[in-house]
Amino acid sequence: MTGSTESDSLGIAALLERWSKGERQAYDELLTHLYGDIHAIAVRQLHRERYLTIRPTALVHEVYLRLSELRQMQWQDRAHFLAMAARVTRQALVDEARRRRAEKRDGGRAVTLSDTNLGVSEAAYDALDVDTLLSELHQFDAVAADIVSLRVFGGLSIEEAAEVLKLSVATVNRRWVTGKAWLARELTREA
Amino acid sequence: VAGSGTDAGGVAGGGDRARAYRLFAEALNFEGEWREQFLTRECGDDPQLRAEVDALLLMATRDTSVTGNLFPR
Repeated sequence: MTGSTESDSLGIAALLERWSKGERQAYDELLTHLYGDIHAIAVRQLHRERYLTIRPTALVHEVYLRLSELRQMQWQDRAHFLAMAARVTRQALVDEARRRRAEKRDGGRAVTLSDTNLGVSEAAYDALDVDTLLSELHQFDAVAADIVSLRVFGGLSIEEAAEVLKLSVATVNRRWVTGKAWLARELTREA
Repeated sequence: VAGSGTDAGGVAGGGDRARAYRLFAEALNFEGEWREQFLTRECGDDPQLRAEVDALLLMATRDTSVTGNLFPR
C-alpha cells in the first residue's frame, strides 16, 4: 500500500473533506482512487483462506458499504482513511468467519492453512482467531496490537502505520517485530 | 490508540503470557551473552517462562512465511 505521491495524498485529503461535507460524488471518486489499495487488501486477506465463501470483489463491496456509513467522521488524511478501511475490513472478515463457523455446527474450523515451514503438518485459523488474539495482545501491548492490525488487515506500510499512530518509524518497527512474533507464536502454537 | 497503563518499556504487565511477552521485548535489546545473562536472571528457575520467551525470540528471527501470507513483506 505504498507508492502514493504527495499530489495523490493532497487530492485524497481534498476528497475526504468534500465527502465529510456531504458530497456523495467525492466518496465515489475517493474509492476510485483507493480501489487498488482496498482490492489488494481483500485479495491478500482471502488468498490464505482455503474455503472461500466470499470473493474479493464482494469483500471490497462490503468494505465500501461500511465505509460509506462513516461520512460524519472527521477525516484527517489518506492514512486515516486506510486505517479505517483496515478496521472495517477486519470487522467484515470477522463477521464472515462467525457466519461460517455458525454454519459448521460440528465445531470444525472452516479455514485451514498449510504451514510446512514450521514442521507442523497443518495450522488452522481464520480472521476470528486473529481478531481474538489481537484483542488479547491489546491488553498488554495496545500499540503493537494496533500496528499488527493495521499491517495485517489494512496492508499499511511501516511508514503509514507510523503516520496513523503518530509514532516514530523506529518505534513502529520495534513493536511490529514483537507483535508479529507474538501473533505468529500463538497462531502456530500446538494444542 | 491505547498506550496507557504501560511500564517503562511500553508494555503493560499482568498474566503469564504478558510477562513472557514483556521479557521477550526487553530481551531484544540485548545480544549474545548479554541476552543470555538477562534471560537467566529474569526467568530464574522457571523453565516454562524461559521456554516461552525463547519461542518468541525464535519467531522474531524467523521468516514470516511461517504463517503463510498473513503478514505483509
